[in-house]
Amino acid sequence: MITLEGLTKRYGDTCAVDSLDLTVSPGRVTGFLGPNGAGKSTTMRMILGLDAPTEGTALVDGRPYADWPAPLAKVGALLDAKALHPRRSARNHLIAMARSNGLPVSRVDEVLSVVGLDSVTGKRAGEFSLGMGQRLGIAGALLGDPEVLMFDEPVNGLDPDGVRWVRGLMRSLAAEGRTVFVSSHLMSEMQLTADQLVVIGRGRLIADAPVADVIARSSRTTVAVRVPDRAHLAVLRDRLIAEAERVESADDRLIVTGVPAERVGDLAHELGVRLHELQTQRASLEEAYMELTADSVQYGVAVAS
Amino acid sequence: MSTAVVTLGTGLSDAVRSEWTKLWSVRSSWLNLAAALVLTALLGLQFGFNLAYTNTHLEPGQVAQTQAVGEFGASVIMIVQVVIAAFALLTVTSEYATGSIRSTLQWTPVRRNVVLAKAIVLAPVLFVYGLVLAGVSAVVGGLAAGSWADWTASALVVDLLSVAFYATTAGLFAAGIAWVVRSTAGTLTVAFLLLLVVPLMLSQSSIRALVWIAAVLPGGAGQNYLTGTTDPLSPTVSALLLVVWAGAGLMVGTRVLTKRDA
Repeated sequence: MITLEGLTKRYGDTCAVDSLDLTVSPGRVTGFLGPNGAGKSTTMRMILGLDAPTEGTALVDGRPYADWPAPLAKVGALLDAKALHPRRSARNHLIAMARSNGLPVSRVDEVLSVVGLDSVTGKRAGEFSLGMGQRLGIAGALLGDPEVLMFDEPVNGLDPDGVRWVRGLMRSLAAEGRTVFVSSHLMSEMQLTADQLVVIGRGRLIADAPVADVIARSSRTTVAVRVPDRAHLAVLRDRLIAEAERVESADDRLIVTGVPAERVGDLAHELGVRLHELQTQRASLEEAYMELTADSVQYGVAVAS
Repeated sequence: MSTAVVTLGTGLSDAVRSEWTKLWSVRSSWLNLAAALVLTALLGLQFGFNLAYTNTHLEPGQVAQTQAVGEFGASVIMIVQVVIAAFALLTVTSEYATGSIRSTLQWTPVRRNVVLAKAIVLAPVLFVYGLVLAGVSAVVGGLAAGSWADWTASALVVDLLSVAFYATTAGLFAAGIAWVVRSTAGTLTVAFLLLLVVPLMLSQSSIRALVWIAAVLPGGAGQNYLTGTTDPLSPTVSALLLVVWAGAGLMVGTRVLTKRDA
């Protein structure tokens, strides 16, 4: 579990992360989203103690990362796949990593085989392609068999096969009860991978909610009803206006925002309105996300869960 | 804070093992050793031949003198020390150049342990490095000097150990300032100036204050210690100064590293 309390990072006048309160829970994949410069990487770096917070705390299972005796056995992280000596072999890189935390060197070959790099272990890390480097970084994150995993843009540079593999890996790590915290700018990927969504903008928390809720709450998620009878249409519309955020009518159709299809159906039944069609048009996560972050940029309003 | 104290011990020994692995798993370390060996042999040869030449081409009134072979080591190390300093400082600056410092600090988040671990790995390596280079220059220089070489074993041992001690302190000092400067070129420049250039320039001065400054700088202290100079400071004080420089460099390095975002 990762706990952030009032986490703040200021560089001069710029506030990269602004009193962030957040709990990332085990057993699920938490997607970490936000526009470029929103403070995602800075937040992750503060969790690992690479950057010192200006204010607030970042704790992993109740303690700062640096206070754990073998931190790699607590948190496995891939923040920057290029943070290695390019002329050291992949295997030696991981051996140095294992020794730094007293982990058995036998783990090195295990994780190299898990990420599918067993045939290139002697190759210099600097000669790796972007995707291979990413796999090596993931191998490093898995090395200590940690309870908490953090990945910054893990599917960068991976081919479709690799992307699917990472997705499966995240899901299975979470299913094993681990905490999985992953940032990405690929919404379609997050929609498939994440259970929980944390959205930040300008260093502030915009949303922290299950993916399904974020999508459902989006104004882009609408319910369309088709009512053949014009009089019935007017009755239903007047009734819905009281409950919905917005009701648009076009011909024999109503497009309702903010009321679930079940409720629309029940109301129609109550009012004796005959329906020809009742359909939910779900927003994509991307649409929901764009809407959330656009709001934050315009008004800086926090829409908490 | 009792837990922090407990973890410090195990964390440090693991970090030392990691640094040892890192040091020997890049080719630049081995290339540095090879380059220093070649340079040392060539310089030893030159100093040896030079002694033989001087003794056979004496000016009127001059007397031919034999030289303890260990002294070739002292002469050679004052030049080769820059290569040794590079060996030590590269363990730090290469991490900044490649970005691997972020991995290192992620693996060993107690930053004092990172500086300590590198120093603990470097100290014995630098000592042996200095010992080997001093030995090579003594043997090559002695053979080149021929009959003018004095092979007294006891003096040789003292000279070899002295050079090894100097290589250790100078290297650790370079590693310490590397944490502050971070870039290879910058650190090498600072090391070059403080270990060689500035002491060399000032020690020739007729102004007493400048001679003192030269004697206090690491390179000057090393020169005076290795040549057994007693003016202005005794060899023992010079040796102590070297330890102080190495310790101070590492302390400042630790202080800077613990305060800085990676």
